[in-house]
Amino acid sequence: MFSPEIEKKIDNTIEKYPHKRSALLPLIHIAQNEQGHITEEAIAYIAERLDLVPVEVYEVATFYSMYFLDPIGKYNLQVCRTISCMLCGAYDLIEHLQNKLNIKIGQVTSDGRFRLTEVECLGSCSTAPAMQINFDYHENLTPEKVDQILAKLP
Amino acid sequence: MGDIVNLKINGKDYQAPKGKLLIEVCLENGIHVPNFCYYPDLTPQAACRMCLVRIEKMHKLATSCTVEVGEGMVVHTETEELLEARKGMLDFILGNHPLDCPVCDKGGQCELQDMVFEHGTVYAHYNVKKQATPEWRLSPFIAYDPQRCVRCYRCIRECTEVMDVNALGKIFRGTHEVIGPYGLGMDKRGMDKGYSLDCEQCGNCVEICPVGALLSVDSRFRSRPWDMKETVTTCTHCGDGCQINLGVRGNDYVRVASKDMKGINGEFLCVKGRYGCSFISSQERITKPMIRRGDKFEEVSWEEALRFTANKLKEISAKNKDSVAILGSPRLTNESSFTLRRFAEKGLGTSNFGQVADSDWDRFFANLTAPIATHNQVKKAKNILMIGGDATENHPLSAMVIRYAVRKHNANLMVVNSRRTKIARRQAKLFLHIRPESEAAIVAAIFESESELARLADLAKVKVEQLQKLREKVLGSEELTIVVGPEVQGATLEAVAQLAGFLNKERAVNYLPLAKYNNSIGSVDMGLKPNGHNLMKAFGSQIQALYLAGSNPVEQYGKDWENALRKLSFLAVAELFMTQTARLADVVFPVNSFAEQDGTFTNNATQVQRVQRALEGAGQVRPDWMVINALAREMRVDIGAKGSSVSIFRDVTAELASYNGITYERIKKESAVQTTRALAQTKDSSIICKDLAAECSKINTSAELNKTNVAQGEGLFRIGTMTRHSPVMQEAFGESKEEKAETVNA
Amino acid sequence: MAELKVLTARFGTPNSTHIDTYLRDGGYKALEKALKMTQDDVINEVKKSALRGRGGAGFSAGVKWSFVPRQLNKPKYLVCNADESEPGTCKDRPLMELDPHQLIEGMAIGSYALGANLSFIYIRGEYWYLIDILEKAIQQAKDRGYLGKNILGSGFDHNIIVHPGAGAYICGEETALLNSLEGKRGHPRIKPPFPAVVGLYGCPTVVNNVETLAAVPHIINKGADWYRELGTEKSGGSKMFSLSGHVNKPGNYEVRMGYPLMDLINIEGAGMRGGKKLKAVIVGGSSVPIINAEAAAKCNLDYESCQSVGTMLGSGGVIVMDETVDIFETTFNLIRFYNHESCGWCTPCREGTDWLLKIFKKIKAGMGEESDLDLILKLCVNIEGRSHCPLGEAAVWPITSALKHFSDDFKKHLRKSLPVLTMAK
Ligand SMILES: Cc1cc2nc3c(=O)[nH]c(=O)nc-3n(C[C@H](O)[C@H](O)[C@H](O)COP(=O)(O)O)c2cc1C
Ligand code: SF4
Ligand code: FES
Repeated sequence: MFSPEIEKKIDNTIEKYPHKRSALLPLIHIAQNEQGHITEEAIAYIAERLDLVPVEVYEVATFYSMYFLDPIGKYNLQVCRTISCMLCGAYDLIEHLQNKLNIKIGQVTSDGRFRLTEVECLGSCSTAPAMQINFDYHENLTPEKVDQILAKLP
Repeated sequence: MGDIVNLKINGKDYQAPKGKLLIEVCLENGIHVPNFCYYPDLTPQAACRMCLVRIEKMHKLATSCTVEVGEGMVVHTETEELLEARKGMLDFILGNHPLDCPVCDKGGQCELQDMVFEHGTVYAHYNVKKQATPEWRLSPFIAYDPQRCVRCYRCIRECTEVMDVNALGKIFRGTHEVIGPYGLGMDKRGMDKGYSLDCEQCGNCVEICPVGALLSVDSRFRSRPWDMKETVTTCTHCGDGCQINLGVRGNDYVRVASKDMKGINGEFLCVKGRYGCSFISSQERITKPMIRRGDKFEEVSWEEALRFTANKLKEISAKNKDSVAILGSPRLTNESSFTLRRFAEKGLGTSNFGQVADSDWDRFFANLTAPIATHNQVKKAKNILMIGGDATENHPLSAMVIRYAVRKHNANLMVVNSRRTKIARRQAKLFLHIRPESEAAIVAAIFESESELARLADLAKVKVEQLQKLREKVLGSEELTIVVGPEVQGATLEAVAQLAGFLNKERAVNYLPLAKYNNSIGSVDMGLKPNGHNLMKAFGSQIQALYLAGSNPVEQYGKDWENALRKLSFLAVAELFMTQTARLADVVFPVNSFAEQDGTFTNNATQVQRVQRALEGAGQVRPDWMVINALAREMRVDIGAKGSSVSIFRDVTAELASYNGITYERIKKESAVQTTRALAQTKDSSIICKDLAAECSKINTSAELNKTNVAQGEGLFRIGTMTRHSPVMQEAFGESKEEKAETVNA
Repeated sequence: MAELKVLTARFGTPNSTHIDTYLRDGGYKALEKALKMTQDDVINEVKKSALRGRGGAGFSAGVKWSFVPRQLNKPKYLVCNADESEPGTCKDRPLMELDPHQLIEGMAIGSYALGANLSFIYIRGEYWYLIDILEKAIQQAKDRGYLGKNILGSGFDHNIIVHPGAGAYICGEETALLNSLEGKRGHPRIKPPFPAVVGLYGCPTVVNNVETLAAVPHIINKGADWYRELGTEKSGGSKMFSLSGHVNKPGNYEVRMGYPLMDLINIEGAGMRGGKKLKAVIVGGSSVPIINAEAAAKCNLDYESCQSVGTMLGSGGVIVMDETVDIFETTFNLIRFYNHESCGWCTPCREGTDWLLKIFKKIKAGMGEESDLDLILKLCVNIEGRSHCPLGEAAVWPITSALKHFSDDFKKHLRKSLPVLTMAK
């Protein structure tokens, strides 16, 4: 169900581990990175590859906060809300983004470009406040800086 | 067994095997420790934290469900601190509980209710809103109310560990976690768009749920637990013979439960046992005797039906005694089967009697060279050789105990089967996937010399090395349990029965025959040989009249039987429902279901268990034996009739050596009493080899392997004469309305 | 300047991630040396160094290694805990980003000592970009013979797999981590058995923090005594602290163990932002009790001193709060965090954090009453010491300590008590 390169990557990932179930988290990452979110097809496929039943994949997919069962837009803006970032202005940032994008936390803009989420500590405490856009870190943020970053996104 | 350690609990001294779970030691010694997530035989969780105890020298409270007892341990289970801690946990659990006990089916049998009652007031008055969650219908059988759930994960473990089905999981995380099948909460799949609990629907998760979170849909809102009468009886759906607790309100079926049961199956049941018994209260039961008038049946009085039948039988038997045949079934009680045989022998003097069944268990027992294993013994088996049979689909309890042996102590399971059964795929250490109907070749490989292996392997289309390995294991095992499926018949079955003798006496060998029906073995014991198919060939010629009890061969075996039955000049059928077979009859007698009568069944472990009356039969139904007695009286023949099941059973035990010493009282006490069988002489192996060679020559060597996996439900969900009339089974697995109409019109 | 440059020595260097840079600085010499020592000698050296686990619990690394039954005929595993998700902590990130070979060498030495031929770096999924850096470094190490078969002719085989997490704080807890690494939900396991005996795939396993392992090459190179003497008697060596919050120069700083907290704030951190007054500090990442300015003044950055002022060194995430901070708000923030991150396994944590959060929300909405503060404390008692893993405790310590030292901040959110009906006893 994936391109040959991705299939290869999946094969390699499974092969790497002494027990194939260990490849479950990496495989869900791969599928999600390919398809934007976790699809039913991906769950069925991964279950098949790892000799699991779908509910075993589903249990894992619903446990971790980086996995998404619904489409998340082109840019997933994940603003850290935990203590160090909070002390340095994260709440204002979130407020700013909600107003700017005219969406609430957890929503996707109508053009499907942005999704706004609050996340817990990103490990950027000394460079707070921080956010991740998809996998990219942006740190020491201010509302103005956020505006510039969003403006530069392709 | 192992070392014994000394420990102190609440100031008193106790001894226990080292390594045993503390909670088990407490409970066995009558020291009450509350718990939710602990469950015997399931992996420990330490999730609910109800079982906290204080162990001296440990700095934190410990969960007694995970701590293993050790020498010198000093334990407290009743201190103020612990009561506070437990109250605290109850407080947490009740915090979000809907407290809708008045409309909860579990009310009155709920572990949470009991625990709160026991601990008195908790301070669950947070004054903030609860997190309300909707109820989900997981399948036609099972619903889930997450708000009542205490997250003990018993259900999940039951489903994965005991059942090996793995349909339930934990979904989402933390406070939002719920229990459910794949797809639960997935927006676009939504549970309303079809059920998604893809499983055997055994409902053991419902049984094991301490609260009203998992529910059986078919019995919902039908009765409060204290409002129904519960009767322990034996399930009628397969040869395993599980004990069920049949709940009846007024005179109507409510549910089957198995909570805290101590019979051969404990709390285990399968879908048929749990949900397939409601047929007893079906509106379609026949309740009055009927006589055919042209195309129509007319309801008549018992007197008329009996007189009519007696006259016909007398008339036909007058010319030739053997022209009347009596056929019972593997489903009737021992008492009814015994009475049928007496009627045939003493009343009619015919030699044409037996039962409609496709098994050779009579030949098996005639050649038996080792005792029969009980299900409990199978649990402890070290080596299991399973030839034929699909226990998962057709003998769920046997499958469960085999899985248990593998799961708990890694038993060496060897499977020989022409189908890719689940047990072969998932539990077997060695699986010989053979060509259809080639069991004889594998059995021969054990008896024959090694030089024959290649040829025999070829016959069965298996690898020589595999066959070699099987042979070595079988010949080399000190202990062996041989499970034999119903498709193994004739000389092959005889050879299997002789195998223990062949292996020599020092070894501990036992057998578990997978007899198909609830009384396959008892009915054979009662003298009804499974010869129905042979007798059928004489219908219309040597045989002119037939009394058929409890069988529906037209549906089961099709056209041949229908044509044969049409050739008879007289057919009487005793039945629960107007089956395809009954529709051909000249007279139909309405009889009691298993739930409406007393008696016994003998299961596939040759254990005799009680059938007990749980409700009154509707209309004018009578037990089969009573119909026969009345018929004999009407014919003025003396068959030594007895007027109650208990006195008939006394006759059984007097006449049959293997039933000696078994009484209703003893069964009541022991729940299941195994019959004792005289073992057969061990035959010379050259004779067995010769017989097997003959069987082998019948193997169709052009037959290909059946490569498809046995689908889940292939046997479990098969709708039959009785399950068709269980509404929930019919809804889930039955024919569509159109199909049903077709069968009725056919 | 009290800052030490042991773990952070290469942080400013260009191309610091490249193996050539590392080798130029004497990299992999420790591995070479270790491979010539016996396994026991390596373990003893680490024991002697007083290196204590940098992941939070502060357990002696050498002692933990010695628990592994090496004679057992099963594979052994070393797992590097790079889940770094303790709020306030971001020190493992630069250790991997800027000097991956230091970690790889530490892991190789640890694996040798344990007899592990395969080890894992379990890295939080958010650090996606680091996976590439680590994998490149691993490849370089393989190419130069520091990983792979028969390392440096010693007969020892060793490989490292980088394994991404997927967003779950609880996966920092070592047994939850192992479940996650096995492709399961991150629920903590029952202990005992401890991972050192029954860990990954049921085999003996040691889980160590990134920083712990990164320190190992230095101990082998320069000796246990040298390392221990950097710090205090019981807390050996140097440690990284992530300084965050209201200081002028937040950042990751390496200082000796026992370094005064106020020096870290005033010297490394260049003092309080805007010249404001210090109100409170969380010293060891969000899971440890919060302390006030008075206690902070007495606190040195080692395990014992922290304990003496009523807190813990934890993972070294120093969160500094000035006088403008409302401690009710920061506590609310943290209980929301712990509720979000509770794995849901055990009753007290799953239900308890939920109720705590609801009551905090109620107070925040101006609906709180005096009695709610009592209820909070009661709930905390119900969780502490009764949960399945330490997350439950981690969730309540910030609350109980905040209520102890900063109760005024809570009280000002309460409304005047209304008469309420009480339940019959
Ligand atoms: C809830 C919880 C979260 C934890 N998170 C981390 C973490 O993110 N990183 C880490 O190294 N250790 C974390 N730990 C500690 C680990 O369980 C474990 O003690 C540590 O990885 C051992 O390594 P060390 O001995 O080198 O410190 C956490 C513990 C708990 C209870
Ligand atoms: S305390 Fe309990 S619910 Fe909380 S994270 Fe640990 S195991 Fe999970
Ligand atoms: S029974 Fe021990 S924690 Fe649930």
